[in-house]
Amino acid sequence: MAMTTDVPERIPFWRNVKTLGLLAQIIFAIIVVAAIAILWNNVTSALARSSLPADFSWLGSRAGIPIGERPIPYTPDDTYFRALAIGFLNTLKIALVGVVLASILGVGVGVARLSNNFLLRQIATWYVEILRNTPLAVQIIFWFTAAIATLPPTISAPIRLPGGLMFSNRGLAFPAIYPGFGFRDWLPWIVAAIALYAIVLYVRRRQIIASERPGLAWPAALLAFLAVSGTGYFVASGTATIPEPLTVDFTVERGRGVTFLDANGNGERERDEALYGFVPVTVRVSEAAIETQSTNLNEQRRIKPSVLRFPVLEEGEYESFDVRILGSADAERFSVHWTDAPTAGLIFEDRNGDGIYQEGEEVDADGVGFSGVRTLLTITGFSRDLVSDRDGGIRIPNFEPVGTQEEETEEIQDAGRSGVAGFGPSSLFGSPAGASSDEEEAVLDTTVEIRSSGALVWSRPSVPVSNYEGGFRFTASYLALLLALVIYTATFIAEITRAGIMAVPKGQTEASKALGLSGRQTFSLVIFPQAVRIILPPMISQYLNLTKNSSLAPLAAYAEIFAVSAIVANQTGASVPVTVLIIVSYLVISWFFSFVLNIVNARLAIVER
Amino acid sequence: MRKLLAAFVALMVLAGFAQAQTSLLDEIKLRGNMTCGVNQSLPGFGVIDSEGNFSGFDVDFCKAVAAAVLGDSEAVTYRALTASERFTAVQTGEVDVLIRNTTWTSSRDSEVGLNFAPTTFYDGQGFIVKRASGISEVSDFEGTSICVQSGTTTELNLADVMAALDISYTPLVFETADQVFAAYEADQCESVTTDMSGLVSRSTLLQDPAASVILPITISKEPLGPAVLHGDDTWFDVVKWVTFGLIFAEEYGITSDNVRDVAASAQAPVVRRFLGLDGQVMEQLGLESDAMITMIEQVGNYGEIFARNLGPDTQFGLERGLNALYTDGGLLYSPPFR
Repeated sequence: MAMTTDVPERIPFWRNVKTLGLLAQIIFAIIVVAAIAILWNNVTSALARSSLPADFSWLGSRAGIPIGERPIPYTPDDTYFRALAIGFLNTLKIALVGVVLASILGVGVGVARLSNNFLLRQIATWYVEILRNTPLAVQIIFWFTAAIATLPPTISAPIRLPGGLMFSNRGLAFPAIYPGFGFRDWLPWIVAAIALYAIVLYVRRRQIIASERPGLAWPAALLAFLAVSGTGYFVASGTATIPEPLTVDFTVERGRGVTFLDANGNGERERDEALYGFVPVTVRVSEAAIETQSTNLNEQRRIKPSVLRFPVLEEGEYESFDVRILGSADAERFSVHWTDAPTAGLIFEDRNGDGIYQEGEEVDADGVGFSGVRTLLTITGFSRDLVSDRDGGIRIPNFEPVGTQEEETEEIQDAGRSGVAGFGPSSLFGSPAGASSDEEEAVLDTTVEIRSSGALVWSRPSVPVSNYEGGFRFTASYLALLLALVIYTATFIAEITRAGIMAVPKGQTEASKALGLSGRQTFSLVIFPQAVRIILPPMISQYLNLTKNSSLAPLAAYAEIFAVSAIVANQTGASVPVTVLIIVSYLVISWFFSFVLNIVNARLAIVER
Repeated sequence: MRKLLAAFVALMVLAGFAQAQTSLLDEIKLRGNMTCGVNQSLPGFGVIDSEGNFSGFDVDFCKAVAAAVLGDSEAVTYRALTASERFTAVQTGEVDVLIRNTTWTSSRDSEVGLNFAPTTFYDGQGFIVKRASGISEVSDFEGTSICVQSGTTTELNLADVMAALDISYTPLVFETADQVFAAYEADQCESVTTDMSGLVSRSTLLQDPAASVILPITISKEPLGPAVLHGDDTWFDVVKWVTFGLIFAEEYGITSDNVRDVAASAQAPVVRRFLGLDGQVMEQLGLESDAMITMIEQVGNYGEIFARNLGPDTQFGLERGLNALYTDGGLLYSPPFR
């Protein structure tokens, strides 16, 4: 064979690496597409045969499921889509708060593990070792069933801390600030204040750089911000007026009402009339009564005999109160001893006749408490300031009319049933809504007045019946899940933090010490900023873990996306589409976290030389 | 968790099942064993004891089907299912038959894709409350919390009734009945709502049963019965007629004690056909001719099952009520076997 250089031999395509590579890609693509097609075909045909819904048309139909925890208004009449949206928002609520708290706790514990303080170091080590090695499901069940459900007092006698904070096994409630009537007018001021903050910050920085002296730029900027927003607050509050058709539809027999925009002015809420939330309202009842009976209460594993309970009334909410024991025989035999007037007390038998309760007088000779003694609390001049919730709802204890009290109580006795604190006897099944002559008589002298408010309103929680109303509320489910997720995830974050700090070369510490920096300065100015760069990437995956672990929520009866989806799948039978929606939901949240944190990470990363 | 898993399994299994379509009946006979989805925490209906044995009213119907199909009431593998995972278990073929206090509704027939055998227990939704709460009627629930199990019709009925009466309450939705009652005991809710049968059976497990009272109100119709997957008529027929067989046996006074004697001496053509002594009734269903004899001998008739699990001699002391034979003013009625 002669050697020719100018005419290169044509390589057949089956030996051409380029073609072969391309061919391999094509074959691989075909296999993948075929596999997906076969699977898809199988799924759709199998779904069709098993009559399971495979599309998303059911999303628009009425859900009918009750959801207790709702960040946006929801009733069972709303659609499946809205129910799932509530679940999604609840997932966000737990994930965002959880991530922040877990970071704070985790970093703190991680630093503590490297502390020179022996006790602190040991506590941190054992915290991590024990909680990291216990399954999360066990921890959630522990927090919900053991810690929150059984240990704290029940809602009828919550722990009440100064400032209006309440805690019981139905969760935590605390006063909160909500937008008032003047809020809209205040918004431009806020925007202006933020703009001013940025401008002042920029200008001050330039000045500091120009002056070549050390200084801080933000105090002046903050001062400017506060001055403008503060002025705005007073201006907006001063001019705030109540929107014109705003009305309250309130039924005192049920202790419940709504605030809404009464377009047609008839005082009753129609379906198309919009509810209006965060309205400050004062409810006054001139004279009202509540009937209850004493019980032997099993509370915190201890029997409390002869306990008498009424809805929680705050001091200053009433002018006077009076309690009477019903039934002539009982009235002679028993007296009431207040433990927290007029909210809780004891029924006692005054055996030594001194008119004062002594230990042991709340039980009879056999040591049994006096349960079932009926009492009537009459309150005069009741007045409560409330702020309607997001749905426009307001609630006070439901009182009975005072005028017709005697007959009412007799009637109750005859029927063999009894009202109790907060549960007024009203027959909804018996009489259609509207005014029968009985109800006409039963109307209490009530006024409901909308208070004018500034840019913000202050809402305090209360317990009118047996749930928190007003303020801001964390349910027991939410608290349990949050605690479990935060405490569990924080153990991993602690280890990541510890690893990150230890990965900073020892020379850095020595160098900063040599420069004369103190231990604290060394840590906060030299070590930690470098450690953050190492900590952040693995931290992102812990955030994603926390988010995904929130799907264990059904263990704590928390209605996040997975819990709601499971119910929806069960009602509609659309397991496959619902599964797709769950996956998409978690994907969206995860991507969001990744996106935000990757930006942070990119900004923090060392610029490579 | 299992729910999600089940949905994924559904994808895989449905893909695999695309080929041959034989009846579950043949498959079960071949297997020599039947899988039955039951409750594990509803005393009287389906409960698991410390040795892992299932017993109860629903469980006895599993046994009856197994006895009729396989000749052995013990040839059953029980699968304890929660309310929300039960339908997926049927849809994916994880269980052959679901007998887990499941309410027969139109959407479960159509949308979920089940076939319901005759109702074995006519039930209704009620409420249990603490005596001390003073709640005596539905309107007293205004402003309170109610515990309910997720994925049940109970949940939907509750929402419907409360909406109709304009009562605002807080629902506390749990996965399992155990959680529901634990929350109720811890005073996290004023009331539990579920089927009366469930309330009766669970109230015996409360720490202080006397402190609670079941309100004499029902807010729904809850016909409970066995369910199988849509589209397998042969298997559906078997489950359906086995259930009727238990009612039929009670109608004609055939019990586990006397079934052999009746079979030996029966003259009435109706009874002879039913017991497989004449005709081909059982063979047409795909069963052995003496299927009913075996079944009644091993499990008893409907009345015996009821008395054994729920009747006045048990801790539940339930009256037959709507669950009596039509001749006694109840709703149980078996079409003829011929």
